[in-house]
Amino acid sequence: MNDEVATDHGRPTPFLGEEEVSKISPLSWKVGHGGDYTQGKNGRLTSHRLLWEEEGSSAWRCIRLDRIRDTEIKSSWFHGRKVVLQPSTPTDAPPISLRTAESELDALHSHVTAALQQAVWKVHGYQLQSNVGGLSRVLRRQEGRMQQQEETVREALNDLQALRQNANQMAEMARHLSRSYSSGNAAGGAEQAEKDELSQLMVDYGLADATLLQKASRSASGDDYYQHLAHDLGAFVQRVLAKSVTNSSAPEASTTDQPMSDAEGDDAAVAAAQNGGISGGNGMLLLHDLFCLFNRWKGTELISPEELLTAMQMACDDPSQGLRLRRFANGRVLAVHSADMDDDRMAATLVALIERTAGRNGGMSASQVAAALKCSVSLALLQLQAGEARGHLVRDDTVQGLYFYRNFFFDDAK
Amino acid sequence: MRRGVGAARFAREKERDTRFEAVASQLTATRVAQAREHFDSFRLKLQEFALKHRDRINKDPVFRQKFCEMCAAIGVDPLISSRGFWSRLLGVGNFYSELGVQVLTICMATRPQNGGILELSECCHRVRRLRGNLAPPIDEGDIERAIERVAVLGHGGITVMKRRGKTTILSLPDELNPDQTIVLDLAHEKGHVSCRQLNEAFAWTKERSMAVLMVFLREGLVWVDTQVTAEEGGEALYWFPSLALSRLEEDDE
Repeated sequence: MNDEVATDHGRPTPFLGEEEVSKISPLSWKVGHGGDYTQGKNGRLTSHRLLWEEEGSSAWRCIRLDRIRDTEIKSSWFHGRKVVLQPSTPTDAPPISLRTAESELDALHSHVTAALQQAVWKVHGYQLQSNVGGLSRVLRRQEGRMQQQEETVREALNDLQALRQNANQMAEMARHLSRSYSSGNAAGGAEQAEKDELSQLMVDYGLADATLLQKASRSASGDDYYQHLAHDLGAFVQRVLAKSVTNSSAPEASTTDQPMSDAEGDDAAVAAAQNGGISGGNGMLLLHDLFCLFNRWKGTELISPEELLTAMQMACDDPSQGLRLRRFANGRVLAVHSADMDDDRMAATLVALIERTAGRNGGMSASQVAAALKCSVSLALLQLQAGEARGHLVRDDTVQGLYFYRNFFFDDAK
Repeated sequence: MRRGVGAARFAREKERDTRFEAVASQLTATRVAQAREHFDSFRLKLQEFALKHRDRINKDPVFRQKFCEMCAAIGVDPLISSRGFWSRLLGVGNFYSELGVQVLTICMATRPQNGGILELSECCHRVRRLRGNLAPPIDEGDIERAIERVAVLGHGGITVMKRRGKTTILSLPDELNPDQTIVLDLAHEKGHVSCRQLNEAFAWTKERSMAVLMVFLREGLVWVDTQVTAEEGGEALYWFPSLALSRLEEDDE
């Protein structure tokens, strides 16, 4: 009874003189009295037929209206109302039942009735409009494609809306639950486990804030992802820092204990560093740069900035890693450096670098230092400013630039 | 007569407390169980959604924007963890982490030319070129979002400045002061500024203008053109390379 439909670029090819009457969404149908309804999408009624796209495949099917004798609305006690189409031939053919949204059922019925009365198909018959050529064909195809695109967009947005409603409820409940938990008293063992599970769930659903992220990471949460991440990250930072210290070939820095691990990983890290044009300058690394380096090194399964920060904090809390997290410029900038590096040593390295490059009386700007240390200008400037604060360096703010010199008064004071 | 004093009263109160506790813990347990049920059903919904629209999120910037708006509206942050359901099902977390790395790399790579001032549209253009044609398309909103994500690592490294409908990505070691900011605003119009322009726009003295321009020059943010013909004013022009380039592209379009 229902035929396959000839399509043209995913859109049903219209018959001569066929016009669209209405869209029917959602649509489900069945033939005969028993059995289940089958879902269809993009349902529409034209002057010639009833069309829909099969759920799951992109095939279109239709019921030709010239084969329908009559239509009526039937209601059943249990299942609500439906539109029933009675085929004209043969006389004992099983009826076709259609269901759509309750609010659209009457409209569907009246539209089908009107189309049956008008019987537009009698003018041209069922002749495919395939002989259209040239520009109009191209235009029509284009139009069809646009219409299809628009439809999929609408469908996607509807789904998004539905998801939003669901997510909204979920988020509300999760927040409520976490509030009641946090206002509660100190929890016992079983309750603590539940709390951990809840905070893990919150993290998974993106409902967590930074403190919760950390808490979830600390708790025994099924797998110890963060522990592994902190470990990997710590080892990676140490390799990069060790490399940068040997690069700057400062005599003072050679005492740094270098836990060199597998040469393969080391090579990869350094290759990544060179590729991105960044490395840890003077035994220190900005977290921004670390984010780039580490993700480049990983290649797949990148980590988010939040995860990097949490894991880095964990790595720095672990004394065996020997790393420190440092905030510069009122906490606006975050950097990581090895635990045995302090401002005085850092400044001494800078003084040595300036003397080596610019001579005993010369000065260097932040960008020159950055180029020499192969680090970012921000990091170079932060280090120079820290050195100035400790008294090792003095600045000369000129029109040509901001230059840093060795502080001879400091040497005399010693 | 006073009643219920002594051991009996304490025993009674203790018993009452334990009963309360039992009821309370039962209540919480039910609530958690219910929550888990809701979470599970939501996960199913999300899976369904992912199955149907995952490609669209990764390929269609407009839809991705809508998706992010939805998440923002309900207070869900799908990017907080690259191991959460959102990222695993929809791949959005990875998408923005990757983009963040690319944007940071571009800022660093172009610093020798622009000193750390990069027009958003130019950044977008460069990111597209870096990613190639096969990668899912991105738009300027994506770049802004990626930069926002990176901001948790400290605000100093890279910031987005929005002024008068123009968006600029700044990766400067220092913040701009108010004078510098309005000079940058003016530079958006033509891609360059001069002392005379500053005088006309803000009635600044030559000294005040030069103070700002010299800082820009020193930090490598501007290129100076001293060979300016008389009809163009005959005065040195200070060009912001990224702004001038993006203006050229606008004119081409």
